[in-house]
Amino acid sequence: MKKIKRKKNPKNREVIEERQAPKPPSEERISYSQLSKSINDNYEKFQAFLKESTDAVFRRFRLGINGIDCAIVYIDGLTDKTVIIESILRPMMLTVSDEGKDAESRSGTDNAYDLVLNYLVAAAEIKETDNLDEAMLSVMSGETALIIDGYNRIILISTRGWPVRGISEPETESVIRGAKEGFTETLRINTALLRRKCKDPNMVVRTVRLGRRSKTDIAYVYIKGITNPLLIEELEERLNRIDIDQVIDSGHLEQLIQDNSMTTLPQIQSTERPDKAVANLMEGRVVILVDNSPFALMIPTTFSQLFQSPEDYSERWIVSSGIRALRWISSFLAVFTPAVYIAVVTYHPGLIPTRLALSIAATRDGVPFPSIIEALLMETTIELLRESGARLPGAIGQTIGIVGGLIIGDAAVSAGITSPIMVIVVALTAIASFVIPTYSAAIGLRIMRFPLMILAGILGLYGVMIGFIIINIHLASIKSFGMSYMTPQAPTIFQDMKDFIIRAPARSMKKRPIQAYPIDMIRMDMD
Amino acid sequence: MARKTGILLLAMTLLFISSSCWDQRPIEDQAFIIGLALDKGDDPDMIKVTFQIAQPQAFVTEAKSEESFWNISEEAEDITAAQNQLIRIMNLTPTLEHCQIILIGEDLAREGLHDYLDFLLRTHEIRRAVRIGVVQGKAKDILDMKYKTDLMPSFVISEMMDQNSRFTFELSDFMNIGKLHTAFTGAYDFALVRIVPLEEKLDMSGGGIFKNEKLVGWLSNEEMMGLRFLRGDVGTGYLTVDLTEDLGKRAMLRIYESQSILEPEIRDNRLVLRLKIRAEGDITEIVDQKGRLSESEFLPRIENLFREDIEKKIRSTFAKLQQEYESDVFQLKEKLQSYYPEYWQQNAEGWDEIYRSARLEIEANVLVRRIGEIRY
Repeated sequence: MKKIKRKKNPKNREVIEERQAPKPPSEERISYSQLSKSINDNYEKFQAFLKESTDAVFRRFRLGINGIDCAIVYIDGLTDKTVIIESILRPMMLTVSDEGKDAESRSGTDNAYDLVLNYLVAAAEIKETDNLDEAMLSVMSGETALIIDGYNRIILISTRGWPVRGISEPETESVIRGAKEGFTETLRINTALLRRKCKDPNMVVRTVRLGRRSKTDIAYVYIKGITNPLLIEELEERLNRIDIDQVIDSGHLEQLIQDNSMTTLPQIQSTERPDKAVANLMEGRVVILVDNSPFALMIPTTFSQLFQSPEDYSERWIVSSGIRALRWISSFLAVFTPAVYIAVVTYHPGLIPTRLALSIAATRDGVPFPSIIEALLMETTIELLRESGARLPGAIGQTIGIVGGLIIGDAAVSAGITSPIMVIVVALTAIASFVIPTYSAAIGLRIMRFPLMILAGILGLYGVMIGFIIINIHLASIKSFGMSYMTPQAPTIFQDMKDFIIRAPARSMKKRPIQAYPIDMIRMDMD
Repeated sequence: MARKTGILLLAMTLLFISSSCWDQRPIEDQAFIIGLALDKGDDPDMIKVTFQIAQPQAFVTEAKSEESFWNISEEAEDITAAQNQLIRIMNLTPTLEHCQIILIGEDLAREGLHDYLDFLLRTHEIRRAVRIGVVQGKAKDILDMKYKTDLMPSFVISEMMDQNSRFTFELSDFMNIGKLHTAFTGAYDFALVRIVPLEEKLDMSGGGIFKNEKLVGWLSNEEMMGLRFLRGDVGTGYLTVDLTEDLGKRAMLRIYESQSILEPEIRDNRLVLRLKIRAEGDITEIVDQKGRLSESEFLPRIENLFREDIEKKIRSTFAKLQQEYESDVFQLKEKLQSYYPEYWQQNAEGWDEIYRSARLEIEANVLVRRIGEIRY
């Protein structure tokens, strides 16, 4: 028999680098890393990459009348053409000639490069480079490359401008009282939103570029003096270990740097709201912004954080504590209600009060399926309804959700497929899961329902208890960037309990919670 | 290593799931026995057990009362055998978990309770708080009665026992199978609620007195009041006395709070029971009032009449219990043991004689708090 040899994935870094390095489409290998002094050579180098892309624009012109050959390269669609015209073309083509020799004599230089760089190009941001890679990257990011004949340096002018979605209220995290701004897809706008809410110069924005082909900008923001330097080190180490060709979204990045991939719950919180991000910054966390993603990541995260919402801090503490306790109760309901119902109805009829037991027995009389099958059926149907509601646009989606649920539930009861109590249980579970403010936590907890239902169907309440213990053990064993997931419950930290189930009055929250191990603990009343 | 862990996990999961739902007890396949009635059977050695099985459809559809329950009578040697016979004739599994009431007929009670109730004391299904009552007549007749206030007679009877003993003196409140078990193991006597079947309704009043676990006699309503005072848990209830000519015709008092303490004492080698009673109440009715309640002597004389009435009732009950039934339903023996342990050790065998010659001293105090009722 012939042995078929399969080529294994090379774990060899050099092979990967060679495969993924930017290559010119033409056959000849130009030594592209070095720029030459001749504009034609440099022009050729750019053309080698961008000739086949019709959105790359090459504009040759002369500096002044009979002046030096120059060329600009930019990508149409990523640039603001007005800036190009006003800052680059007009000064270099027109203004020089108007003033004639005066410009040269005024500047006191006969170096054209120096003239252009310091006196002519009226742009707000300028970089120089003699490396073609860097120049290519800048052009791809929306900047304009200016090549001048006779010099082997290229000037990169920031001309970024592309259509941006306006700042609108985030759909997944709407609050009743609070700012209605949300992050957009542009990194710079997002960092600006953060700066708006925190004017401390100690707030540092650092950028890395991840993704060999996508070269996505990732900015991580922290406040020097509050954030623990060990946390920043750990984050940088994890980011440097990423070697991937594309970072799709902040969710993708989250999965690449998170601690535990075998759990349904998020260990890194994500938010679309700048006010939530800044609040977390103030507690000592690091906020990660990914270009092209309106979701910011915040590390480290604990389980109790998933139940916090910005509006908790805008209302009175008694009211907020009540609502927060409600969220905890509803998270328990969302996970355990169907399982407990199945266990009690199938294995422990003696636990229900007599009249309720008779009522349940009566309504279940004609139903053909045992409780567990009925429950799994109805829960799956609700998940289908929910997913389909998410795909349909706006108002239709919500209407279908409600109407579909009502009609299907009613019809199922009339047809005798389910009992009305099951419909109530399923509806209660669905509503309870909507109360959880973080979407990723809500879906994470929702999934836990199904194994619990199966356990309840096999072992009754004993199975539910086993499931409960397993879930608790699992939650307690997760760590997020070194911080135990169940702080302040698991390593009990009384100070953090102020913002846990109850929300202590604003005047009594004088210290920062230890959860993010900040190095500056005092928040209020400094003297 | 990972492969071995995977195989281990798979094996454990399969083992776990393979049991699936073999212990299942779906609620719609259970026959809930909500009431149990025990009588002497037609055969001399057998008892007749009547099971009242709930028909849950009554809760859903507008069913008439007769379709909401089903009484099945089985004759067998004991309850276990009767339940086995029940399994043979029904497609649902009988369960006693929701049993509300256990009724014992007079004929069976006179023979002795413990032998037949032993099953109920050992089974895990019956709750400790299931009510138990003795019927003056056939227990089966009570379960057959259809009531208008509720669909199933068992609920009616158990709720009656629950509530009525709090509102009147005329019911014994000792009616729990758990308390019954305590009485059996502690070997003391007790009094159970008496239910009398009448034409189309039942009357729950008075009690049945048990000595050595056998029914020896009945106590009427008034005698029951005496017993409750003797036992010390009185609750609330109404008291009616005839007044003397110059006071009026009749007065009624609602006692809402009372304490009574019974202490044994050995005086001249004879057992003396000291009973201290303090009762407080509101006047609910005075017929033909011939004076003013605010006059200095009027009210105390009425209180005096109430007091004498209470004393009279207690004495008559005590006499009946002591002489006729010779049953010590208020744990006198235990009190004597704890108050006079040496005396008890010397005279334990002669307990019956001691009890029969015991004397009762009553110190009662009735206080009328208000001249009209307020809501409690």
